[in-house]
Amino acid sequence: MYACLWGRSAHLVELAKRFSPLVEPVGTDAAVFSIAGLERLIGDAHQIASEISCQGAKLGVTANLAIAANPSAAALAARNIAGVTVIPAGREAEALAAIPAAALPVSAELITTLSQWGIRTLGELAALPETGLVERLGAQGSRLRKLALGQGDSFLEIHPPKPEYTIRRQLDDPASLLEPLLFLVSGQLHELTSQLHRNGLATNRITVDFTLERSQFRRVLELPVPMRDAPALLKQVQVALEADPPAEPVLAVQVTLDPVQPRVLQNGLFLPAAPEPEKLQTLLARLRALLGEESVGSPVNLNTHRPDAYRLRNCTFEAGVPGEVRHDGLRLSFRYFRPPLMAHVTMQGRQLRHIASARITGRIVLAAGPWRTSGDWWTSQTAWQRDEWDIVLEDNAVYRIYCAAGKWFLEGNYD
Amino acid sequence: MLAAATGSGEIVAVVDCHGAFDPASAQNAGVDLGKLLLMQCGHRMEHALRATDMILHSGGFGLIVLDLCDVPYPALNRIPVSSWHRFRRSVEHTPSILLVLARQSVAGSCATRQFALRQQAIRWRGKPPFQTMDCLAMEAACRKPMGMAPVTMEALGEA
Repeated sequence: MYACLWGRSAHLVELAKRFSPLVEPVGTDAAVFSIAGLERLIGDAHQIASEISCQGAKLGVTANLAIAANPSAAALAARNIAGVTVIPAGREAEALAAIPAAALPVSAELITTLSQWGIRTLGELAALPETGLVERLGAQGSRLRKLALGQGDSFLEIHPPKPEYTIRRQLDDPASLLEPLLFLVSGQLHELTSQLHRNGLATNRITVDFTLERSQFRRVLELPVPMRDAPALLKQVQVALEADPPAEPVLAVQVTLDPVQPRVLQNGLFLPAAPEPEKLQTLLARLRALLGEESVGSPVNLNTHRPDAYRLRNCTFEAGVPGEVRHDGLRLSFRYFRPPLMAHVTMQGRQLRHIASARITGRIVLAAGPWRTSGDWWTSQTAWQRDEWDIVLEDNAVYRIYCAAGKWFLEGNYD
Repeated sequence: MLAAATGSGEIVAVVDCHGAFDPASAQNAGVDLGKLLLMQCGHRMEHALRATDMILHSGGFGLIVLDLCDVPYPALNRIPVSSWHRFRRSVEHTPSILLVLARQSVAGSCATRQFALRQQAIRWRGKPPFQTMDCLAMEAACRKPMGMAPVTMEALGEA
């Protein structure tokens, strides 16, 4: 059984939710809800209607109420019959017969057509032969007739509120050590991930809030891939908190996980192995804690001619389909001295003769260059201009040196 | 090796002790940078060893390169032998390869293969002084196991 409330009140949905979690708000002036199962709690349909009316009066709701076997009939009755209407199962056509055909939820064009046919009420529409209606109006004709007979086959469209994956724990005594706090966070994470698992979800963001004695402490961890493995999440939290622990004793701990769809990946038997995403994220977090945030990642060359222009991006690896391996021979690689070494270069005329630096000193037997490069001259921060040489020393080692702003630098060697 | 490993779909890691890795020349050599994890250890060899240990224990990497080329000899000699034993235990029953680059043999008996690379001739292209490097010839001698003939390799410059 279904009930429909129709009226101009802001509390319609609230009233409906007092009787059922399955509520469909229809526009701003109606709410249809299921009352199946209330017979055992309240009684028959009339008693349920009476109870709804009582609760409505307490909330100050003025609305029509209709109860019927299907949502469409309940909605039609509530919209068009004033007061409380209880339609017994099987007598919907009789109850709806007097309602004007214009009340049907169809286009104005179709209402005009029905009016031109001389159809004024749902009773008259229901009396038409179904075959004739379908011949003239198609599938919509059959649907209209069913609505007029109170046999609509619509279902409630339920939009339950998004669940929040948040757990807050208040501590009896302030805690200043990380270990007991992590023990608490571990329990919260296990509970939240099991909730995510039940709903077929994962998370890509962990928010840990600590209520301190005099302030608040928040740590937000973004995960590049959705995860729901509690130990892996705990490790991330642990590494983050060890790097930056709260400064004061903690009074309460709140953990929030943002729900997202889990990552679906089909591996192949013949694909090379790749690090598991959960393990990889833990590994990256530990490496960042050891080496620094900016020192770990996948290199990406920047779209510029500036030498040594690249950045490290956060990486997510997946086992890839093997591509074609290039067999066009070995290529020269370059090894940078970071930062470049200051050097003193002796020149004879325009020839480079000798180089002396903290790392390499020797006679230059061959120098190729200069190769002049410049760029970013339109910005003052990253503008560069320099003359480069490739030099060979007596031990046959090949280096790249450059001169910028009158100073010499040793940039690296060819390998 | 990095180009071959990433070309076959494997994920590789480079532990760069002194920040010498050049992504541009690696890409030019055919390395798929999207499958490479680079760690710059800020000239701290202890961090490089710890990072390598973490990666080996994490698993899933096809090739791990530990670059200690710029570490001076005294520091190389200070690396405890137990570190190499630990690394060997981590990789010996896995499909991963740990490649250590250094000025001298460091892993000793823990290494399965050892190669010594020596630079030979350089070939230039163009007229002095505006020459570009055409190729760099290197000799690779297998030190372990012994008995294999040295191989000469040529690394080509940019076209």
